[in-house]
Amino acid sequence: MEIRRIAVFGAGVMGAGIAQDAAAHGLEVVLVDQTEDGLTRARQNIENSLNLELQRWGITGSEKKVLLSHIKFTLNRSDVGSVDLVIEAIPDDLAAKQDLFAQLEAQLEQICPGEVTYVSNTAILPITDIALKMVNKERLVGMHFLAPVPAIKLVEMVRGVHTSQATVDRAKELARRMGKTPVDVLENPGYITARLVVPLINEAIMLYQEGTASKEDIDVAMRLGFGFNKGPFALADQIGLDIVLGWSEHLFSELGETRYRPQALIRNLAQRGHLGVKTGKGFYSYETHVDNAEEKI
Amino acid sequence: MKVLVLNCGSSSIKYKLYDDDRQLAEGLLEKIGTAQAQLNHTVAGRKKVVSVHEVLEHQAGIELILKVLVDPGKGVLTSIEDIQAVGHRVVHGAESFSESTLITPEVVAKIEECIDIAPLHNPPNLAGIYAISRLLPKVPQVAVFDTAFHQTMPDKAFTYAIPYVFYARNHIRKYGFHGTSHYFVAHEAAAMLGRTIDELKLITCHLGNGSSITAVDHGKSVDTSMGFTPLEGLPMGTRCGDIDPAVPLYIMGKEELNLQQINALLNKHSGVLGISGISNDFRTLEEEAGKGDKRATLALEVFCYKLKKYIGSYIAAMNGADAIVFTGGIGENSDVVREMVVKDMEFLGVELDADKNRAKKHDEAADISKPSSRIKVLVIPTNEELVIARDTRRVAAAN
Repeated sequence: MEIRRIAVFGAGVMGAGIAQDAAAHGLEVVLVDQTEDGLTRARQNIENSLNLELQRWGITGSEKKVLLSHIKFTLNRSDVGSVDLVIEAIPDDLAAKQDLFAQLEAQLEQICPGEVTYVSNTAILPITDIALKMVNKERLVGMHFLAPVPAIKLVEMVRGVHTSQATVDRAKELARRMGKTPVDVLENPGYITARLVVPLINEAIMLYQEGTASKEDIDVAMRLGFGFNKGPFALADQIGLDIVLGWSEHLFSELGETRYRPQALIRNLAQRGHLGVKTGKGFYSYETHVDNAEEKI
Repeated sequence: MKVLVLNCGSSSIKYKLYDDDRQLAEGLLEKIGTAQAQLNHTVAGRKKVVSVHEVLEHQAGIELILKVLVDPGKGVLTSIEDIQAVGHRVVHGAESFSESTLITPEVVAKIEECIDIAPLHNPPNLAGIYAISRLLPKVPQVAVFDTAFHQTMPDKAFTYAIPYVFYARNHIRKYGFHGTSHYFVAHEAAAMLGRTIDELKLITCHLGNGSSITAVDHGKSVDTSMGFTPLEGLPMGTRCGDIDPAVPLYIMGKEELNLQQINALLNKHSGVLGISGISNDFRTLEEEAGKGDKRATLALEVFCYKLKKYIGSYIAAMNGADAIVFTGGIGENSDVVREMVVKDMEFLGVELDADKNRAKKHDEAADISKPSSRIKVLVIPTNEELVIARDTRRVAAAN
C-alpha cells in the first residue's frame, strides 16, 4: 500500500519542516502539537518558508495554497484518524518519547491495526530504548532528518535491535517519496552526521579562538578548499547552536572523547538565545526579511 | 463503433465517449489522489451532473467513469461491453511513433522509455493505459501522440546547434506538441478551402494556455515552434517561450537559484503573466489593456509580435502559404489577438477583413480575410478528442 497520509507529532522546527516537505510531495499530513502557540508558530514558519520559495520563483501562489491545504494543524490526537505512518519530532526526552509511542500505539492499533509504521526523528537517542514501552517494537524505526528539511536531501535511517526489515523498507519508501536519499546507520551515538560535524565545528571554534584565522576566512577556506556548501560556522548557524550544543553534550557523555566536548562559545551564544539562522543571530547575523511575496504575482 | 477517449493528466482525467463521430457523453474528473475528487459528467441534451468521490489513483478514477457511463440515471451505455475501443492521448512518443498505434506490451515499453524526456506527462498517460488493460482487458487500446504529427519535420528543422552527441545519445531535438490539433485544423482548413491537403501550404496557430504554431506543407508538419519541451516557441500564459538561453544561466548565478526554481520561473512565472504581472488569462489582459494598463498592453504586443514573426518565417520556409489558421481558446475567441497578429501584412498577401473578424461567432469556423487576400485567414475550432476517436476506430478496425 502506498503511503498517503501521515501524522507528525511536535510542531517545532523539525516537525513543521517535515510536515511542509511531506505536503509538498503530495502527502496528506496531520500536524499535532500540545499548544495553540506551537501550532500558530509552525503555521507561520511554514508560510514564511513558502513565501521565501515564492519570492525565489520556486512555487506559485496557488501551489502554496494547495500545499497548506494538505496540512491539518491540530491539538487533538484523536484528529489523527487512520494513517499509514507516524513521525515523532518532539524534544529529545527519552521518557516523553517512550510514553508518546505507547499511547499512539494504543490509539492507532484500534483504528488501523497492523498497518502503521512508527518513526522517531531523534538525533541522538537509541531507537531500542524509545521502543521500550511499545508492543510492536519491530515497527519503530529512526529517521533523522536535518534542518531545513525541505532543502536537505538526506535522511539517516536508524535501526533499533527489534526494527524489522519491512519497517525500514516502508520508511525508506517515505524518504524517497519526499525526494530524500536514505543512508543506513546503527543506533550508535551521533550516527554519521552529528558524529562527524561536531568535532569539525569544535575544531573550527578552537582555530578561531587561537587567533589562527577569522570565522569568515575559516568558512571561505572550507568552502573553496574542500567544496563544502557552507563553512563550519555558517553550518552551525544553520543547524542551530542549541542543537549543536545538544549533540556535543550527548556525544561527550556517551563517548568521553575531548573532541566532542561542548565549546564555551557555543554555550554562551545559545544561553543568550542566539541560536543561528532561526533566531536571526548566531556566529553571524541574519536579516530575516520576508516581503509580502503575494503582491509580486 | 463506440470509442472511449481518455486524456489522463497528473491529477485529472478528461473523457469523451463517441459513437462513430457522434459524441454521447463527456466529462472531467479532477483532484485525483484526494477524498474530494470531483466528477463533472455531461450527456448530450441533459443537465451536467457534478459529484464528489474518494478517488486515490487513476484506476479508481477510470472505474468511476465506467460506472457513470453505464449508470441507469446518468449513463448512456447499457453495458461496459458496449465500449469497443479506447483511445488515449499520449503526450510524448519521441522518435518511436510517427502515427497512432495499437497498444501492445512492446508499445507500452516504448512509451515508458519516453518518461525520461517527458517526466510530467507520460506517467499519467500510462496510468490510464494500465488501468484500462486491467478493467477492460479484451478491448483494443490505441495511443495517439501529441508528437506524432511533427515526426515529418526534416532534420534541418529539428536539430539544435549544440554538440551532436546530445542528439545521438540523449535524443535532444525539437519534437513539437499539439500535433493532433494542428493535424485536425489543417485538414478542416483544406475542406473549407475546397481543396485537398496535399496541394496546400498552411500555417496553423494553436493558441491556448500553451501555444504553438506549425508550418504544414502538403499535409506534413515541416516546422513547429515548440521544441524538446513545450517551453520553446511563443510566449504563453506562464511560459517564457524563446529567450536567449544565456538568460536563465545569468539569473541562476545572480539570484543563486537552483534548477527547480529556475525551471518554475520559466514555466510558471513567465509568459504574459510574467510581463503583465496581472494574469495569464488573455481576456483579463485585453480588459486591462483596454483600461490603459501599459504592461498588459506590452504582454499582448510581445505575444502577437512573436507570432507575427513566426508566421513570416514559416512563409519564407515554405516559399508561400495558402492560409493562416487560428485555433485553441485564444485563437478561436480573441479577435483582438487575431487582428494584432495579421494586420499590416499586406506585403505578404494577408488582408484581414476587420468586420468579419469581430463578428465571428463562438464555436463557429470562419474565413476572416478579404476576398482579395492571397493568403486566407481562417478560424477553426479544434477537436483533438474527435481525431483520437477517429484514429482509434481506424487503428482498432485494421487490427
